[in-house]
Amino acid sequence: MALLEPSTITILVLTGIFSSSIIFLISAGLQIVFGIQRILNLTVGSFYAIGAYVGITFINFFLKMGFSVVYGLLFLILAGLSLSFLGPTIERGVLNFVYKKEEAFQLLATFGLVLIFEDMIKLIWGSYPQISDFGILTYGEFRFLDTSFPVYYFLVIISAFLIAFLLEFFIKKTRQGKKMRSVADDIEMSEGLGVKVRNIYILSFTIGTVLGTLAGALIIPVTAAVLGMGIEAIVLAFAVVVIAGLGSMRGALLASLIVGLLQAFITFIFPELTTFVIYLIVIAVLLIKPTGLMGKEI
Amino acid sequence: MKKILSGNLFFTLILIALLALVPYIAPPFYVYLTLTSLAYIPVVIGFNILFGYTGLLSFGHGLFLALGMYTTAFLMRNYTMENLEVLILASALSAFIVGLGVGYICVKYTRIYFALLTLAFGMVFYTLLIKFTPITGGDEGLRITFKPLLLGLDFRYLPHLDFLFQPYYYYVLGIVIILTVLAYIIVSSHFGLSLKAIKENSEKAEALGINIKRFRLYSFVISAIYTSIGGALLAHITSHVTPIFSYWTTSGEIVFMTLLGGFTNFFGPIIGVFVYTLLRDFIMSTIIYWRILFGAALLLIIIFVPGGISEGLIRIYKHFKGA
Amino acid sequence: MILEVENLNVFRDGSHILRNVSLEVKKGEMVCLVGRNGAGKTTLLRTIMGYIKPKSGTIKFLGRNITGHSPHEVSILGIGYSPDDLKIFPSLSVEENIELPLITRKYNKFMVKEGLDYIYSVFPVLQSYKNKPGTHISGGERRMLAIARALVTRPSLILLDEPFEGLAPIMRSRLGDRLKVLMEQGLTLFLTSSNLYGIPEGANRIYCIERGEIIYHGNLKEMLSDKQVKEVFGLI
Repeated sequence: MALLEPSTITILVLTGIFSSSIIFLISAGLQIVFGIQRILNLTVGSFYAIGAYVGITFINFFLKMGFSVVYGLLFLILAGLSLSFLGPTIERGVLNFVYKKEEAFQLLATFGLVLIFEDMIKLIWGSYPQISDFGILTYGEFRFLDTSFPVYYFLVIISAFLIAFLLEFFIKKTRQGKKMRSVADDIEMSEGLGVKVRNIYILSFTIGTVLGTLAGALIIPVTAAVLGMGIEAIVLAFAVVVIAGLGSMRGALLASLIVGLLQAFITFIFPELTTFVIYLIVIAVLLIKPTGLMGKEI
Repeated sequence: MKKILSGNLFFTLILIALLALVPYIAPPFYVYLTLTSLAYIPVVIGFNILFGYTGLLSFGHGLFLALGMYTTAFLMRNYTMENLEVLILASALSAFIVGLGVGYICVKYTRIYFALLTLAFGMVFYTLLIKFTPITGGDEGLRITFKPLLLGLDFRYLPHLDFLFQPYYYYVLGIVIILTVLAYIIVSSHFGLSLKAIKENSEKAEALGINIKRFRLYSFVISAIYTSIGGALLAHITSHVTPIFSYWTTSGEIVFMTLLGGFTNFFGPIIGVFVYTLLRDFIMSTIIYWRILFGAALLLIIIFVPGGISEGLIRIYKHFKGA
Repeated sequence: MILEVENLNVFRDGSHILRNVSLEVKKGEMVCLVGRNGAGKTTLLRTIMGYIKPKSGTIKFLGRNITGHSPHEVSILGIGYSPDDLKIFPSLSVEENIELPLITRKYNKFMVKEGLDYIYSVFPVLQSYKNKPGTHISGGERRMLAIARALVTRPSLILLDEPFEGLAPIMRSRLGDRLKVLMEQGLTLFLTSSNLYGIPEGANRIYCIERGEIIYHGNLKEMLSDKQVKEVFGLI
């Protein structure tokens, strides 16, 4: 086993926080839809994968057009946002028909969507991993003690925090946010006071979608887009929301940090045990506090 | 009522007769698919005792399928255990033990939490299978290199496919018939009715004096044993067991087969297994993008015919009878 | 005419819950629907609000047929509703609870402020708790909050399901006084009660419902001498 030197620890902590940021965005997408629609939306993993593929297509296109690589991050964010149309499409086209069905069927419907998206990606981009021309070191490196990290990591971490802050502000302060909270509390009473629940459903699902596509777009300078990345992401994000407590946004922030850091350290020490350890924690949390660290009562 | 019952019996006998004829009339490839389907019947029956009759959706039933397969492969390789009956009993026993432990924890929860917890256990088992290479063979899994004894009879002189398509086929058919009849007795018994009462209204069932958690646990363990025996039967057909059988996609397939055939009817999942296995092969060999079709089929079933093929058939039957 | 209900029939799980119910509420009236628990009061209110689709019959609001409209349409058209179980939103503060119906009508900032001021003048106690979570106040205050939500848009008709239920006597009379003041301001009120004591003294007309059927309609004094009503409430 490798010795954990201070510089190694710093690297692991930083990469851990970086993956936490990405994991947070995906799990926040799960949480918001669960909070409003009470559906565990596995599709968010597919949105993550689509975000990555479209991000690569976007960035390579803009670089070919002669834009400077300096705008890379901007193009990625643009790619993530441009996919927001998927939200209303899927919500109206599919989820709309399963709201009144049993929970099991709702979960299975999103599973069906995951299967469909998996192959759509294959159909459009093929089976080979896709790589962007946007290198991770585009924004240079940051030196600290004996080690150095890509500045891009910091940019992503800051973006994730910014998004978390915006989400909190949106839900707490805006009119749409207030309507969303009322629907999360009690659909019938919200309707009786004039809330058009349909619109809130579309809104929350779209926010969930964009969180997923943004996370996918932001990860591509670090890793290639590969088939199955959506499923891998959903497995992690699912662990996060169970640890956090279904529907809790703050819980998701905390649990993403735990899972991201654990992932970084365990991958370094016992590479193959990562999923195992994370899922052991999931089981432990479900046993000790089934509502998660910050969840409401079942 | 009696007439319907005898009608059912009549159809069942015809079906069994047809299945018995398959090795003689069907091309080898379809015999293989039918055999695979037969091995999956205990799997879906087990799954549906939990889902259709107890109302608990397990998204980790791949765990028990893989458990049966690995128990078989492990005992054959390491202890040269040859008797298929012993291997089946051993798979059932390991499922009993693991099912009791996992089930004890899982049945404390219902609905989405139950689904999530079973999914988590499936994933943990999957990573264990990959990690503990000395026992499980890791990513590669384990190969089964020799044929088991059937009722003590040695068929090792037969070529592999001849063994599968003749003695093994009928052996599996026999086991599956016994297990199916047994399951039918279980769900029609007082116990089965209690499970249904719990599913429909757990508070009322509790008021009637049914110990809900204990009944759910029994149901879980029976379900695990059935699925594991299915795995034990399947292992000799694939002769190669890999961790993928414990992965959540396999668990998803089990759910899919059951829904396709119809979880509301006892025989629904059995129809689902045959249709799924035959269709999957047909579609996978002709269309690369089979997931799109399966995903779409799943959505259509959920939205329009939650009762699956069996519900669809009943609807058509009633339509024509009414017209 | 504010509200006209004609020959309403409602079934749930195979049982006939409302049988040919007809009633009306005129502008500026306070009408009380009295009936025992399970007689169909809540079902009638929920059907008017659009939560339940009737099998037959019509509901007219301000002369307009609203049968089969969804609850949010009914609400926007101008019916305020306070359910018997209050349904205060725990994730919203007291003030946000009151604001919600104004927000859904897309009122601007000043109109929202004006609405809040109006409510705080009617129920001053709510102002002192305005930043508390909606469920962290006493039962009586929650009742007021639920009524405030129904009232804040100054709708043409307010439906109150058992507004006096579970209130201490002092709170009852206080709430009764408030309602009287509101009536003087020109409000139209349709409320329910499960007992004869819950009928406010200002009620213009009373309907008595039993097993989904209107068995009496008239004023309070005559009602108390009606044989059927007496039987239902055990006054014989």
